[in-house]
Amino acid sequence: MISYVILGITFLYAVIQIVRYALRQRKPLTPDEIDERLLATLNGGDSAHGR
Amino acid sequence: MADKKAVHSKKPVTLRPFKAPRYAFDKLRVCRRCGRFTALDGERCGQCGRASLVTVERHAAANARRSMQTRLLLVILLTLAAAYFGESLQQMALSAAGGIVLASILYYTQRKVRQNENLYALDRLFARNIGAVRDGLEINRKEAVSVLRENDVLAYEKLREVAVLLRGDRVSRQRVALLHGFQIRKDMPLELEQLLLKDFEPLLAEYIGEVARVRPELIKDRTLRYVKAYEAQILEMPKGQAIMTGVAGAAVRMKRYALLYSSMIGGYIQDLPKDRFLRLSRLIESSPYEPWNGLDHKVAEVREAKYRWDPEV
Repeated sequence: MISYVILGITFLYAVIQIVRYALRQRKPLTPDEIDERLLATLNGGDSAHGR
Repeated sequence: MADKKAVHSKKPVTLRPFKAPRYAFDKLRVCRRCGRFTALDGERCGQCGRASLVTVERHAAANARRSMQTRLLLVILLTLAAAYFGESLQQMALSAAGGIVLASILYYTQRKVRQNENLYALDRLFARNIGAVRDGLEINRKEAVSVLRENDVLAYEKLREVAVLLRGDRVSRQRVALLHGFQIRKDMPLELEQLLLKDFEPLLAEYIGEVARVRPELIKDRTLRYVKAYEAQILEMPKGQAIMTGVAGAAVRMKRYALLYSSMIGGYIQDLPKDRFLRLSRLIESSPYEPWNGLDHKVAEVREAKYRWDPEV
């Protein structure tokens, strides 16, 4: 019985991880977005300034 | 004479070629040992002295891989536990088989989403360490300023690297001040748009004038907007008229700029060198129905007054 409980937990854990990956994959990040966000944070929202 | 003196007081320098990376974060590296971020070149970390600097992308990819491996390992461990606690051989086999199937699906999914996960890890790395990134860049900037007295070229090159990420006026102002001491040549890796400030700076205006003379192709929209905004202040400078004429001459290389900044260019037609005047004249001749905002009439007047007997014009 314990064996199936642990297997159930494993199943739930694996499903949660797969769903998380799938959700992120549906809303993929682009390097441009990361770059823009980083520059905006470093330059106080003034990322367009300069380049 | 004064101009010549000013040029002679400037230092002839050779700047190393510089190509801005596609993404600003490509410039950033992080020490795997102490976690310090740097935008400067160099093998060793400035803080711990170890040769453990890696690009942030590589560091984020390693983080993503570790996180995926941990998750997979947890599934495998749970599978082993399920098999271990099986009350019969059948239960053990079923648990092991189920676990293996789950681990395989998870592994397959992880392989599929790897690229995206690397980007999420990079985003997370910046979000969690933005303070450290900022501190690292500030240390880089201070390092550049500290070598200013002994080696101003090196200081400029370091600031140029830092400026890929720190785009505020402070770094730009320091770079403009350093450039003011250098003799500007055509073959130098020059920048302009990256150096533009929010407010008026005479050294920058002077630099714009020099760039307009040696590399007119660097005079683009933002520079023209800057010059137009501070035209009055530039004209108050000793070489203000020459700067404005140089910029107007550089602007006429493109029809778009000639149209957009026609009123500004119009004020300096009289002083434009012949080749620039010819260029503007041909631009207007090729598109006579564009809204030149009176520039065409001014060109006709100058042609009549200055180049009346010139067969080329």
